[in-house]
Formats: sequence, structure tokens, C-alpha cells
Amino acid sequence: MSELSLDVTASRDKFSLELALDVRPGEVLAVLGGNGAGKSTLLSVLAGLLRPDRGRIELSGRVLNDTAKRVHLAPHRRGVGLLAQDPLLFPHMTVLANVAFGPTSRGTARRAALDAARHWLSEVDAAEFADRRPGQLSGGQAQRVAVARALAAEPELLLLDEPFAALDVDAAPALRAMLRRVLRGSRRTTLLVTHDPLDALVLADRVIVLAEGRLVEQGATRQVLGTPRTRFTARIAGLDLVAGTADPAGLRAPDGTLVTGLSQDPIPAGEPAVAVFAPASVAVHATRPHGSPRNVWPAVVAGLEPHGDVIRLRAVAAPGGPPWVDGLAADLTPASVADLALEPGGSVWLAVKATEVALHPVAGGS
Amino acid sequence: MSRGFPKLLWIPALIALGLVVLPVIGLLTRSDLGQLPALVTSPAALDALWLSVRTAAMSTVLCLLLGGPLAVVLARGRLPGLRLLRAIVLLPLVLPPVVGGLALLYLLGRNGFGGQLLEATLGVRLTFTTAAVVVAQTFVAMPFLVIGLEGALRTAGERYEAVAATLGAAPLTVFRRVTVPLLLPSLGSGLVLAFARALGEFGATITFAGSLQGTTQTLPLLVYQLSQSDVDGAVAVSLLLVVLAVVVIAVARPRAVEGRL
Repeated sequence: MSELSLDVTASRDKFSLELALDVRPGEVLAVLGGNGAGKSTLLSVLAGLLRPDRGRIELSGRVLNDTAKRVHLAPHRRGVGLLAQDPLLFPHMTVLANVAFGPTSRGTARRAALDAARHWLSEVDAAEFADRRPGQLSGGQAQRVAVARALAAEPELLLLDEPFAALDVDAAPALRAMLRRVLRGSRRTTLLVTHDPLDALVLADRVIVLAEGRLVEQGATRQVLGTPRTRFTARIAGLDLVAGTADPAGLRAPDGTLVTGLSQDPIPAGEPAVAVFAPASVAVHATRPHGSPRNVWPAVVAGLEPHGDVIRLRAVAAPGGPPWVDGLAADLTPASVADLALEPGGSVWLAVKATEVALHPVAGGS
Repeated sequence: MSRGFPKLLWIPALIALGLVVLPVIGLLTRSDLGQLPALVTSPAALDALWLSVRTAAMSTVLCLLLGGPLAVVLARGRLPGLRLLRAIVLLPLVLPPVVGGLALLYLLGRNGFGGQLLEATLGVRLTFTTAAVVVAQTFVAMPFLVIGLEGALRTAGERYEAVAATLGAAPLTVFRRVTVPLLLPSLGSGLVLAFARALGEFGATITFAGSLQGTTQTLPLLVYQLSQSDVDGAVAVSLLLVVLAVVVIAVARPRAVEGRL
């Protein structure tokens, strides 16, 4: 069980990363962020494939990097395993030899290495593939083997780089469940990089959110994803979010619009707060609706895209309407898209029931 | 695999094929088949055949031992100026072999500083020896291996090597167990190309090593010499070279020549 502490600045191409981070022994930390957030830069730095410009990385008492002392441990000496979205099994070896590669490379006797390989293959339910070549495996099977190979090397820190991103939708849930079981069972310190909040919910104890190479949010997984404090986190968590200040009647957006909703605990008036709601709870109308919903805002349709079984509408602000409507999402059935004759550029009204809107206090400034 | 190409391409393709095949047929029709066995087994021809095979094989080994590591350095190195180096490696490919031979002569010949250095330190004189043939052939053949290997290394990328390193494998282990095995197909095609180029080498050899029977007179040099006086002999020895080329292709099989495919 290994503790990781990191405080680095690193840059690659046009991305830069500036991050301080501690991961407790045995903890699974999810790193969420969009493209260009600095996630893969972080992984490269940890794996030793990229030298940080400045900073220090320590793993269970060993210094992996210390720019002040010009320390940079080579990748093979770091005890940091990497599982990428592409399994990258060595095509010229059998599955068993692939999994035994880590142990034999580090001097384990051949017989013991093969035993370890068989053990890990059965851990990931892939024992029957031992004698196959990687080319004979499906994507999901290959990724299972890659998990076994990474774990067989007994890394002190395991890096998972979007491990399900390249799998088809049928294979991902099974692999996610398997990984959860294996990670929990081995209590291995793990850093999981993903853009899918579901990966984080299933696998991670704690979440950090990166945007443009900086940490924008962190906390326990359910808390961060259930109550996102930034628009960015809300978007990757698939939720709509409006920032403003608390008001006795709800949330006062910067333009003065009142968003009514419910909060777990009362928020003192004037405190920074956010209103969060699911795109599925947003109703779309062609004309201004009358009746119960108090949250009704004009918007313009920016785009319509399939999102699972529903169509997700992305809104932009209507002329003269609240500007924060930009980027809000609403989920509709294909039938209602047809009924409303929705098209990009068309004017609509978005309505949300107050009971569907959750209000959260946020730390100042975000 | 794709069948959807413009039918018009058949015309230039057939002309190209003809350009490759018809000269060999021309050679066959010109040859006197009755005399062929005697001409091909003449002492000069047998000497040249043996010398050609020997020197080409030695050059190929040299290409592998020196050019292989060079390809790795070019593909994986991070030195500034590597781009320039990469261009320089192509030089023997672009240079007329005769010019290459001259350059070798003025470096390693009796009056070249390299030649004087060799003679002073090791007491070795290179010019007009079999070793000179090997040097000349290696000079012209090496780029074929280096370019092929370097391209393959770049296409394979460093991803497998990076994964191997994160599994705890030291650089030498990665090279031995991952880099080299992944390169084997293109290594095969590179070696075949280098061997074939060494076998056909003429210009650099005749300039740098001369044309002495049994020592430096390889098959192409013998063909050239015979063509001045004994055309039947030249054609016969040429056919010998054609047979040798066919054997190389057969041994290498198209798969190795196509490399990664």
C-alpha cells in the first residue's frame, strides 16, 4: 500500500499542468476533465515518460522526481503501472507471456512468473485465453488481459487512462465491474483518468476535476458528481448548472433572474451558490407556458444530438433573455422534437419545476 | 484487396511490368544455351560468383550490426541535429556509386588520411582487397536497411516500449523482448534489400576496389569486363546473376519484401 504525493508543473505541446495532489494508500482517485484538461500530461509525468518542469513526486517514501535535486527516476524503476485505453498487448507473445512479462522483466524466476500470470488471468476471468495470441481476442478480452498484465507487475501505483473508452458499450460495464472487484480486493493505490463520470462513481473513492491543467474541484465522488460546484463539473457530470447568489426565494443569477429550487440546508442570503438540475427535468415549449413551472426562460436551440434513447438539446441565450442559458441542456424524446418542429436557431422556452432544482452552497470564488 | 481502381491504370502497369520482364527475356534469347554450362563454370565466373556471395553476405552482416543500431538511434534518439543526420544517411542512396567509390578511395586509399591511419596503426591496406569490396558494398547497401528499419520503428511507435517500461522492464530488456521482435518482419525485408543491393554493386566497387579476379572481381564487374570482349560470356554470367536474384527473392519470399504487410 503506497502513498502518492505530487506537486508539479509540467508542459507538453500547448498543454500545461500545475497540480498538487495527495493520494492515500489504497485509495482510488478519479481525475475527471475534458480534452486538453491535462489528464494525460499528468499520467505521463507520473509514469516517468515526461519530465516535469518543476516539482516533486514521492511514492511510498521514494522520490520519483525532484527537479530541485535533478532527480528523475526512469519509468522502469518507478513502480508505476499504466493501463491505457488501448490494451497494447505485445502481439508477438501469447496472452500468458504478456501477463508474465512484468514479473520476468524484474527478475522473477520463470516458473513463479508464469504462476503469477495464471493467477492474475483468473482474477480477471481470462484464464481460458492463456495460450492465445492477442490478435485472437476481442477488445474487451484484450483489455481484461491488459488489466491482468498491469497488476501482475505489482505496481505500487496503478494508472488507468480511460480504460473503457475504446470498448463497445456492451463490454464496458462488465470490465468496469471486474476492475472494481480487483481494485477493491487488492487495495492498490490507483489513479483513474476518465471523462466518464460513471467510471468515477463506480470505481473511485475520491474525485478531482481538472480544467486547463488546474484543479477546479475535488472531494468524495458522490458529493462532487451529485453536487457539482462549477459549470464544468456539471457538464461532465451531465447536469445543468446555474451559478449565482443565494436568495430567500432561491438563487439570484448575476443578471437578476431568480431560479427557484430546493436546498438541503438553508443557505444564507447573498452567499455564492449554484442551482443544479438534470437535463431530463427540463421541459421545452414552443410558446411561453402558463401554469405551475416558475422557472421559465427564453432560449435559442444551438444543437440537437442523440444521447442514448433521447435527443439532447443544447441551448444558447435568446436575445434579451438570461445570458447563463448558454450551454444548458434539455433531454427530449424524438417524438417531442418532431412535434415541436425543433431546429437549430429556433426560439424555445425552457421550463423546470422548482422541485427538480437543487441549490448548493459553493466555496467563495468558484 | 480493393478492386475499385480505374481500369486505365492497367496500361501503364503493363508497360512497367514489360520494362521489368522483357529485358530478362531478351537476355535469354541472346544467350547460346549450348555453350552456357561451359561459360558459367569458367574459373573466372566461379571465382566471381563465390566472391559475390561472400562479400554480399559480409556486407549484409555489417549493415545489420552497424545500420540496425543507427536506425534505432535515428528513430528513438532525442539529439538536436538528428534530422540532418537522417538526411546524411540517405547520401549513398542518392549519390552515383562511382562518386561514392571515389570518396571512399580518397578517405581510405593509400593517400587518404583514413587509409594512412589504418596503415600506420594496424598495418592494413584496404584498397584493391576483398575487404574494400565489402566496405564499398556496405556503403551503398546500408541506407536500404536503415531507412526500412527506421520507418518501421517510427510506425511501431514507442507505445509498446513505454508499456514495457511501466511493467518494470529495463531499456535493454525492452529492446531485446519488445523492440527487436516487433521489428523482425521489416528487418527481414531490409536485409534482403541490402543483400540484393550489395550483390549488384558495381560503381563504388570498381572505383575503390578495382577488378582483380578472385580478390575484387564480383559478378557485375566480370559482366562488365566480358561485355567489352566476349559478349556470350557476359550474357551467360548475367544470367547467372538473374538466377541468383531469383533465388534471393524465393528465399526471402514476397512476404519479407513486403515487410509489415
